[in-house]
Amino acid sequence: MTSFQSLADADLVTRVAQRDRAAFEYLYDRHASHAMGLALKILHNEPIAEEIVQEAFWRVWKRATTFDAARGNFTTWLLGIVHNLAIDKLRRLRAAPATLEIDDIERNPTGDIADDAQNVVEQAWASMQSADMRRAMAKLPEAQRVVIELAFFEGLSRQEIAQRLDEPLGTIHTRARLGLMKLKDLLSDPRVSEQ
Amino acid sequence: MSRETHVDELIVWYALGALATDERAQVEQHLATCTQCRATLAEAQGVANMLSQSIKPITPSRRVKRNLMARVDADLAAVRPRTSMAVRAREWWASWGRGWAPAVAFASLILVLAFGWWNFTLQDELSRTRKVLSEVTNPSTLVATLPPAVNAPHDAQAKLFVAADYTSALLAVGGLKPLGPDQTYEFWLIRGGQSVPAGCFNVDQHGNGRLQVQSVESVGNFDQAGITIERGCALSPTLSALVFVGSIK
Repeated sequence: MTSFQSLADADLVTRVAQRDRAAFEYLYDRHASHAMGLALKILHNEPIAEEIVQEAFWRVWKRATTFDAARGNFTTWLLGIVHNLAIDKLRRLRAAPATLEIDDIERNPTGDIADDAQNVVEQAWASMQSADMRRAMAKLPEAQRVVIELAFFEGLSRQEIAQRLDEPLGTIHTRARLGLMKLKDLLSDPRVSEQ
Repeated sequence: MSRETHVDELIVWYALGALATDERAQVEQHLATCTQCRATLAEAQGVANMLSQSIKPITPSRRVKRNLMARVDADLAAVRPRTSMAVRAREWWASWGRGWAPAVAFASLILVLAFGWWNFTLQDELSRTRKVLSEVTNPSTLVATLPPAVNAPHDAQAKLFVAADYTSALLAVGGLKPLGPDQTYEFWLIRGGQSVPAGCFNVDQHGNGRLQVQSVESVGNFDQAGITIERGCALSPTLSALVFVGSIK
């Protein structure tokens, strides 16, 4: 029996591209909770978030041959798929609000604890990055943080954000641009990681 | 404002995934020819990607993995027979070339007909595979796992994919023993102890098989399903040869 624990994500995806069911299952076990965390953060509805997670991994199975490690790691690729699917779903649900049931639950959070099936080094690194980002977001001026969250986690367009916050479009654009720059600076500041 | 400046302004929103489709297309068109904007995007996207990774992980329910792996199993089962069929067709084609080379004119006619048959068969197979995939990949499809009975091999699996409106259903099996030419697997829909035959099938050398369920009644009218081994398609099941049986509700 193949041991996948020591394999990096890129190696697992290579096996998935060769239709290796067991490698795919292991990849799911390793990353499903991150995908679910993001989908639930965007959709606030557990059954719909689970539908998105299933669809995202299905695309990984069908499109593993298109994964290019030179363009980014697997986590980025997977969460990009989840983000796109979740935002598209959220926009469709907004267009038909009767079907949207806001259910702001966070069930069974696993925190940053690695489980037995996960590559410990990758998981530890991801946890550190997550913690750094959360700290950096907390340090962002609130006006900038709100704009970034409305765009990234709620899928609002810049026009919709301007309307919701009752601010000129130029102001919204400036806040988004400065917010991303500030986040980048904070993430490269060693003092943020040490806190 | 120049067009370049305008696209540059959109890049932040592109990285955040907050552009409308037409604006997104506009940015992508520009990025294809602008190295500077690609670099700007890479920087912004690097930060945006970390936003995704800043979320606390939450374990999805077991149902998600179960349904996902069922789709994968059905995909594997659906593609393998098509591959082996293509190989068989190529082998058959090669044998024609070797055996009938002297009769060139006659062979040409036969080859044209054979190609037509081969193409038709592959198209038919492709069409059926597409239908299968469209059913199993539809998120609204209901999936039932049939529990193995005493005659099932250790790693045998059977999943029934039922369209949300119950108008069609697909059975996918794996890990079953290939049968001899005088035997067949038969699928049954069961209601109140009464079994209705719903199609016969066999499995390939890997033990995988699938069946488009044949039922004049809606699958939703039945509460159980089963699979038996029969000598030819039967009208009533041989209960001693049950391989799977269980609820489909």
